[in-house]
Amino acid sequence: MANKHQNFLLTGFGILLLASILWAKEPAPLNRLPRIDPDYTDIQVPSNIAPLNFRVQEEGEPFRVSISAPEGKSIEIKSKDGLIQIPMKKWKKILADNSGASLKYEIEVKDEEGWQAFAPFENAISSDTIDSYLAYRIIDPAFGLWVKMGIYQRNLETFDESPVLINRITHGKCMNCHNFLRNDPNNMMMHLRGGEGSGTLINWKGELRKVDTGTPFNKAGAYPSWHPSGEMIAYSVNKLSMFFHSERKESRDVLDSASDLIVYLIGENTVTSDPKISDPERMETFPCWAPDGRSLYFCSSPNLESYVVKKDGVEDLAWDRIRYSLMRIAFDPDTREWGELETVLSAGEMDGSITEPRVSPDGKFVLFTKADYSNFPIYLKSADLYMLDLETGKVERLSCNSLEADSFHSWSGNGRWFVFSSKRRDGFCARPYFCHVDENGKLSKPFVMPQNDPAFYDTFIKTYNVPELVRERIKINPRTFANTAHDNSKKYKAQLDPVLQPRQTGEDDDLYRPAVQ
Amino acid sequence: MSEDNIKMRGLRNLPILATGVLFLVSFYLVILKVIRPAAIYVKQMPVFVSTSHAFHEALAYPGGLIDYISSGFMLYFVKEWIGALFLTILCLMIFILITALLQKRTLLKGFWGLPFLPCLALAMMLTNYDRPLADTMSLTLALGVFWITQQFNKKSLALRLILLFVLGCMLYYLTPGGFLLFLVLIIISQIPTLISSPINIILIGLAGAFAWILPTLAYQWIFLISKKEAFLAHLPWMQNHPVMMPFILFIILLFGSILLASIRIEPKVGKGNRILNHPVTVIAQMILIPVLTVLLVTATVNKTTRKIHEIRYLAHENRWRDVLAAMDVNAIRHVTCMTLINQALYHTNQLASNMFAYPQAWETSGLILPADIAYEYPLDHSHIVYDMGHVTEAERWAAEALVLYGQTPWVIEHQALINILQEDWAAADKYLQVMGKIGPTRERAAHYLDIVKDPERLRYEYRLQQLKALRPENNFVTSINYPQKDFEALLQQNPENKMAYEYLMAHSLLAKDFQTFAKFLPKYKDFNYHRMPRHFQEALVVYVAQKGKVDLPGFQPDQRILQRFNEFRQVAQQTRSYGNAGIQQLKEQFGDTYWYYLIYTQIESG
Repeated sequence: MANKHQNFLLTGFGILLLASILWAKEPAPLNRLPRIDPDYTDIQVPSNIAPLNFRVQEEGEPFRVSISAPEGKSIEIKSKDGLIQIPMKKWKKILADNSGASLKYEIEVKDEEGWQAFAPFENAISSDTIDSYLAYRIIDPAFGLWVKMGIYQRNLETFDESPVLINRITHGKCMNCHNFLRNDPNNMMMHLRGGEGSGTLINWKGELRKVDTGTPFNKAGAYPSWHPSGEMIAYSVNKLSMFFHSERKESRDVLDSASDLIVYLIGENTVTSDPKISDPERMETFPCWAPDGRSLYFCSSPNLESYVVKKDGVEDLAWDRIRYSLMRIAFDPDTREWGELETVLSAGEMDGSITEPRVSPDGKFVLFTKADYSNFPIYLKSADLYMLDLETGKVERLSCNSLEADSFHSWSGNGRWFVFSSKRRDGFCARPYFCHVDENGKLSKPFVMPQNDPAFYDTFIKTYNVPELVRERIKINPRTFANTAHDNSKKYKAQLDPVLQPRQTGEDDDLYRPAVQ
Repeated sequence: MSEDNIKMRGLRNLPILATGVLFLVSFYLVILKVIRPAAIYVKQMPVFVSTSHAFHEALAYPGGLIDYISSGFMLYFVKEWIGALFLTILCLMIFILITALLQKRTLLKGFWGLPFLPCLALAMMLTNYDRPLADTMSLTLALGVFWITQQFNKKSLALRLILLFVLGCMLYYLTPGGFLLFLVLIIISQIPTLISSPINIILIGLAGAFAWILPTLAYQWIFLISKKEAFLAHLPWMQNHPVMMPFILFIILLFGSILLASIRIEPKVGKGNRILNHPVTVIAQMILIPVLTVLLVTATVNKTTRKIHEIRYLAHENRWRDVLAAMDVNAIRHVTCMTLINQALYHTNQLASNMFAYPQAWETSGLILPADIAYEYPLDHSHIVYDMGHVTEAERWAAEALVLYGQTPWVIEHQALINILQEDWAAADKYLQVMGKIGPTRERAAHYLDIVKDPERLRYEYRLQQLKALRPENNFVTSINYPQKDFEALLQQNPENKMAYEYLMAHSLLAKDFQTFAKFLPKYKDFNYHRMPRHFQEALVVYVAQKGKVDLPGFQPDQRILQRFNEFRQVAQQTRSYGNAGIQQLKEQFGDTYWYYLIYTQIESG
């Protein structure tokens, strides 16, 4: 009797199964890619990146996403609202098993006509890993004021973000220009500005110190570049001021009215320079050492007075004509003697202003920003990334650019990736984008830093500033940075190299000001 | 319990209930009418965005959750009755807790008005406009947790210590200041018990140590916060504001009550109790407490702060006639208020004809804020330049407001509209996404999102269309330090920009810059005035008098103005020797004229 019932049930179940198989339709193919945000279609990803969570922006519900690769199990995700959050473990495994191969994304949505399948897309998994951490400053889209800010580090292999230093524990100070010796978190520096405790924090050879790089020759240093030997840091010394336009989508603009380069010798606590890099007739800025330490790249423009023009008998500044050229000067690290100064790329031949040169770790390329004018590309929509091949001399506008400002780039330690700030999503908040570069300088499509919440960037009205790739976690506790900043016994006052003569330096000033609440 | 007993008890409690109701009604009314929840809203500019990121950020520091929740409630303070209700409910909770704590304490039997006294001090604390909701929530929590621990007073010391530790840690995470208050209450309540239970010294000692250790651990190891925040967050001395007196009063009354209540004395039906229970005393308490609430709050409210924020609120709501009606001596003391009053004068078509009827002692700063003050009131400044179509400058100051206040509904909505005007759809969309995450602005966000999705809809937005038409088409470098240059440039690019014109003329009058005034006077004919505005005529008379002969053909002041000018000169001459009395006489007759401003305002303000 029991067997009879069992047979009956099994037969019924079999019929139902057969019917469901027969009735189940194959999803109707749509001959287009799905709209997803962030756009992770057809990109190249490092094999150690966190899951690229995204949102399907198509009508209908629910959604099915299948992520497959030649090796291992595919990842199947169902979502009612189109938010696709990829399980971390499965993602890590599929990347690890398929390094050098591709991930295939198949996305389906159910609408009034049943299941629809979008054209699949792929992500190439690069065997070139990216540095595990990204350090950046998070600030409001600043015009003049600041209140809250902090330098953070994000583990790119997960979604963990932790503060390196926040101004909640530094009496509300401004902090900027975090910089590392060859992507090494154990040798790093940053500036703190705004009242007592201001200075440059340098962690060098295991000692964290605060340095006042201001001397009778110069104000405190600004844009840094660490010499590959680790023994010295080149700084620009700038006098920046902000002005505003009445009619353009990005109304902010910045002017540098005087700038020079200095070199801070860390071990000797001494500031030195040379007339070739601190010429009163020119404005030198954005230093960048070549990886062999035998030359210094920087940007240079004639001084501000040379841009004063007479308009209707009245003197006016032709701010839109201020353009910087890319320069290089030879340097002997042993004797510390400066050599020949040469123009690598002139503003004239580039028909624009060159800023932020960054030499690739293999010394083959210089990645730089070009904008219509000025030295503050983050506020210029015309700012784009360019690459100079140092072997061939060929300059190329990179395919990763957008209609918004693309600037502030940083190479990974292995030179196969770079990160840059782009405002392409909304025009006013910069986001870190990553791009792969092969040994021939060929680029992949850039992709934005993944977030656990795929809709994160929609409502996050803060800007990611100065993204710098770092090999590993910065281990110094934020409180240690804060305590050092306020501990005058750890303060070093830089000495001036006796060969240099004191000169008018003016007050230390800042582009931004703390808010009075 | 017999029915008679219940009745008797009900009758005994009747005065307490009646006083409670009267007190709460008076508390609600003083919040609503005297303190003004709208003024609290403007002073606080609450930030509450319901995103996981904002929530996690709030959880990252002790007290953050209370800040977040209180900001969420405070969003509704623009509806003033809701704001008053929130605060009254909190006051009721504090009252209930204090009453519960003092119940059955024999010494205080009969003095049932006692629990009202700390609440009265609380009402006074709210008059300073500094974080009233978060701080009051913190006090409520501290008292609530203290009340819970009191229920275990007769349990073993070990249990009480565990309770103190567990509840203390939880309370600390919610409100560090409340935690400190809670521990002080524990200590105070335990001191009188030392004679009967000397072992309680352990509880006192550990409570004292706990008050020091936990905040120290918090700022040195656990959270990235300052030392001050670790110990005092949510207590009034976190703010640099003269709020201390009502707070100290609150603390004294609270601690005093708890201390007295902790002294256990056998009940004696003596003379004191008879007096307290006498019908006259009962009625006196019933009347006195609500009356005192009204009087003390009215006396202690910071009238200048209230007025500034009341005017800022009205201006934000574009209630221009109400702005002018709300103007008083407190308002004109504040330069930002003066700019809002002048903005209201423009919107009610009175700037060119009646601005000097209002004290213009702030001169040009009272028309348009100089940079240093604009950085303190960026949103108000942004709205002024926005109204004249100077959209990028409005965006700049809205961005400063975003930094200063955070993602408040006003700032986010203003930014969204600015970006819609600039047809910067991606940026507008972003602000609208955030706006959609702020409770009270959700509907408006959806409305504007429709415009972003279909920009054709902008045609149906009359105000936005008007402003869009005023936007300058050609770029110029703006200058807040020389606003007349911006007004000129705006006018040059859009000759129909009436606000830019009136502000340019008002600026030239306030700056006594007759050259600019004369240069742009002829343009008044482009703006459909019935006749030349009164102040222009008054300035023209002076200009003609100064220059002797001027090349402004066809620009003749009215005979009435000329006649009044002659009278002014006569009276001024006659009263010259009277000193201040003379000036006062002149002010009474001619205080609303440009002539009076020209000669005497500087003397008055200087």
